[in-house]
Amino acid sequence: MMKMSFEVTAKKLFGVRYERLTRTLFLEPVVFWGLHIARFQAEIDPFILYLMAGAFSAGAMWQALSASDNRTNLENMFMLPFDGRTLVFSYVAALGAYTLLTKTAGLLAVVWAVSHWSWAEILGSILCALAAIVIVSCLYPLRLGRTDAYAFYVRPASRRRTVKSHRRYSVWRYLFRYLMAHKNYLVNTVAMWGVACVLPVLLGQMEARFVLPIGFAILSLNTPICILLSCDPALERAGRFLPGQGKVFCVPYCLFIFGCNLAADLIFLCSWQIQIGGIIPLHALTAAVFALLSATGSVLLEWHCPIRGWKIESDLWHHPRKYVVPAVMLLLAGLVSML
Amino acid sequence: MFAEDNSFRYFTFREYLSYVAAAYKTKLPDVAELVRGFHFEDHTDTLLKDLSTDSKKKAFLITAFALKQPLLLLDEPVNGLDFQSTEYLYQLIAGYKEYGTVLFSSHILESITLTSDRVLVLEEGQIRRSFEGGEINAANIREALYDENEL
Repeated sequence: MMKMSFEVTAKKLFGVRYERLTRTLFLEPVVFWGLHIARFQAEIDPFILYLMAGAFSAGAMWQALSASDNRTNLENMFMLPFDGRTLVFSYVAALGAYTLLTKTAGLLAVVWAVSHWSWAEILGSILCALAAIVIVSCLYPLRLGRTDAYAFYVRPASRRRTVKSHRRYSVWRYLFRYLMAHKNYLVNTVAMWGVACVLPVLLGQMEARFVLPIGFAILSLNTPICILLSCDPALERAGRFLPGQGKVFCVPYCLFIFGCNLAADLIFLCSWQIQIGGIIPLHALTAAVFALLSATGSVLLEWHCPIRGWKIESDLWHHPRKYVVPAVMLLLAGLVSML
Repeated sequence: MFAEDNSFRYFTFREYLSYVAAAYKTKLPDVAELVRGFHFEDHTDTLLKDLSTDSKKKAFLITAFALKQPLLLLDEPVNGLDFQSTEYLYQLIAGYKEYGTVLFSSHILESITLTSDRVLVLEEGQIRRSFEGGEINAANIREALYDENEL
């Protein structure tokens, strides 16, 4: 029974024949050896290694437990007779294996490759990751004050029956409602604005004309709002069937991302001005150009290369494609710095 | 119109209608009669994501019929509709001749025999049989489907 329950969730996450797991376990050593051979080196304290492994695993596990994509699977399992303890252990074990093998293992592969570690430290990082996963699994059901299998069921948000009446559409209104309905998207956007406040502390030692473009490039990494079509396949399908969506939908979407990115860039500039000073109008213009280019790149990627075949939301958030636009922006930042 | 559609979840029906009308570059149509016919009056200002399957289907059907496009493609339009809405849908399909053509898929025999001028029976992506006019009746279609199953 436990094996069957485990396989129901595991096959959803890893694929029917666990092909996604095989692919990931093949790629992670490749990344490790690639970085190892390239001799990238960084000094990392073991405490930081344990903290990274634990915090990252805890966050990834919480995200996996909170994913609304698991709702249908759990609903189906609840319909059949089940033993609460067996179901909880198998469900948590499947999500824990998913977090450890596909998320934490990737991070550890990078960190282990760029620094020298003893076997005890490597084992310690794995144990910290495991401990974080177990702790999150124990704490998660307590947010509802219950400890049975139903505590892991993510209920749909309560329905609001009517909204303020509008006869005409507005894509801006649509995107704003979308953002408000997905609190994690909002939190991520605000978190980027928080990073914008802190960046001058990290980059302030260097000359503004070199590092400001790099800051703008880093702040274009706002994953959730840049994957709107990928995370809503029904919207993407409808958008491709309706005529003229390039102008009617994609342009406002691009301007929406531009607004979010520009807000982060302006916060960065204001923070720089307060802490260090020396900001001129040309920097604001550069920020606007970077924000517009990154927004355009994100929308073009979404329209021409949407992410498909994902299983839970976490797969979208951690997809390598999200680094494409920031990487291009970083290259552009390098070019701009040389001018 | 798709059999299952969860698109534009954060539009209300009115906003979705104006959006689609703008996409097709047509004037915003008057849908009062269609809304009455589908008993959809109470849901026009509800977000599409908050509608039941039945109501969501009605929202997309009203939009599809309101635009009066030359070709209307409906995928399993009868699924999920209540009895009165189903009868109203049959009237709409039968009366669409003055605006254009309706091409719809269905596994409900009644929806085909009551509304269609031409019936195509598909097997493995190919058209195996077709019926027109007086040939369209439940017995003929059942026989065609029975023959397919035998093959």
